[in-house]
Amino acid sequence: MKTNSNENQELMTRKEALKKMGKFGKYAAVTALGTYIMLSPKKSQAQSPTEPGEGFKAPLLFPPEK
Amino acid sequence: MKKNSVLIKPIEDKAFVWFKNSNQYSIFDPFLADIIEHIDQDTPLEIVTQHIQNETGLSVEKVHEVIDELTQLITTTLPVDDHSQSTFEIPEATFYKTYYYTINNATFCFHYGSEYVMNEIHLKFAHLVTKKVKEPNHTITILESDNTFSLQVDEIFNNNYTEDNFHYLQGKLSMYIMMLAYKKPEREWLGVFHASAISYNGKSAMLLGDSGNGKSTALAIAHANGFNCIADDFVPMGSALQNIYPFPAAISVKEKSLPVLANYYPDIMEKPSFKNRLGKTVTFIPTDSHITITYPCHNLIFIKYKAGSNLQVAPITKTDAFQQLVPDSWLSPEPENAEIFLNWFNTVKTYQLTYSKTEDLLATLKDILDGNH
Repeated sequence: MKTNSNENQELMTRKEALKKMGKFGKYAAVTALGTYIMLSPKKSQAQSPTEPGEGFKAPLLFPPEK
Repeated sequence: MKKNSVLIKPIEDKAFVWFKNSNQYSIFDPFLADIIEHIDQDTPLEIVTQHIQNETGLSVEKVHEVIDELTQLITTTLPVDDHSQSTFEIPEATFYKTYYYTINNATFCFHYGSEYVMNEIHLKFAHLVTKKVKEPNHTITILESDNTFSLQVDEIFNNNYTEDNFHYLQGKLSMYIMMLAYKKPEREWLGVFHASAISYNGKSAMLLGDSGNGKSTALAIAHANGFNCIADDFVPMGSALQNIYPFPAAISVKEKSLPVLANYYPDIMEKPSFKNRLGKTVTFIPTDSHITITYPCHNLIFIKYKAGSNLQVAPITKTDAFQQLVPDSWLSPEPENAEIFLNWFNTVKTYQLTYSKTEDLLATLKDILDGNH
């Protein structure tokens, strides 16, 4: 369990980052044991935006590090 | 105490994982998924740590970092965001136009507050118009004021959307149409896929891919060549049988598709169309997708039109298909539905199809649906 205030701050920041990333459809993350892919479904039903080709592409955040 | 906050499904050589608290999916190496399961089941930390150390030789500090990170994935909650705002009011407006539609034997009264919202929504359903009735089963009101749009569905839903989020208003409206027309609450739907859906000889497939890849155009071509159109752009799947349901909207096609579609729809220039705010013309091709037959679906075809290309069709891995499917779909956050979804996904066949000639497209779709691929 982390108790140091700096580390708590770091935990908060990472949690916030996770929440932010939930808004994007897809990202790759890295642990000491390898990479994994997180996928967020849409949080609400949607139709294609009026101008097709916009709005549905999910950016790939944090590509796997070497 | 067991938390049961994750579902783990082995697919191919990976572990597909669902996180209940965030309704997110993930693809892991089976070893990592096993650790996640132990964390979720409250296996003592020292046992998990020792297990990872034995298997990997990592330091205790590194192992604790990994456990912290995986624990966060399990515990992080994500609020449901339907992109609506209910904090400000749109003043009552005079209705620009009112239409009545019949969908699966229910009568819907739609009040449109402006020409724009009427064009965006009515033209998709114009083929379902019926005469005015005194007591419609459902009343839906869509108003516009200062680039803000409000959607009211009977007495059960009333929210506002910004112009940028108009497609979420349309999505919510489409979902309510399905829930009300089929008398199925949201928890009885497994998901809604951003796809086109076709059937042939009783077998069905979803055509998927990024916007602009030609899903709707392929659907319109297939529909003109003996395939049944189940849905365009919005493909709802029920959770009970994992059948896809016909969504009764017309097929919407872009201006650039009209020349090729004119080969199959000689009257395409006379079909309902309108110019959207970006000056692009959208044309609507009515279909018989209001016929209420539902279909099991075991084929996912990621489709791409590429001018001048040779036909390329091949199975793709479930891992690839899942990464493309999930971010583009609404998937039910109910745990029983998430489990049904993963089980269903494990049964589907997944393909990538690139084409330039429509005869190649049609022959390939028939082959896949006939089980010849």
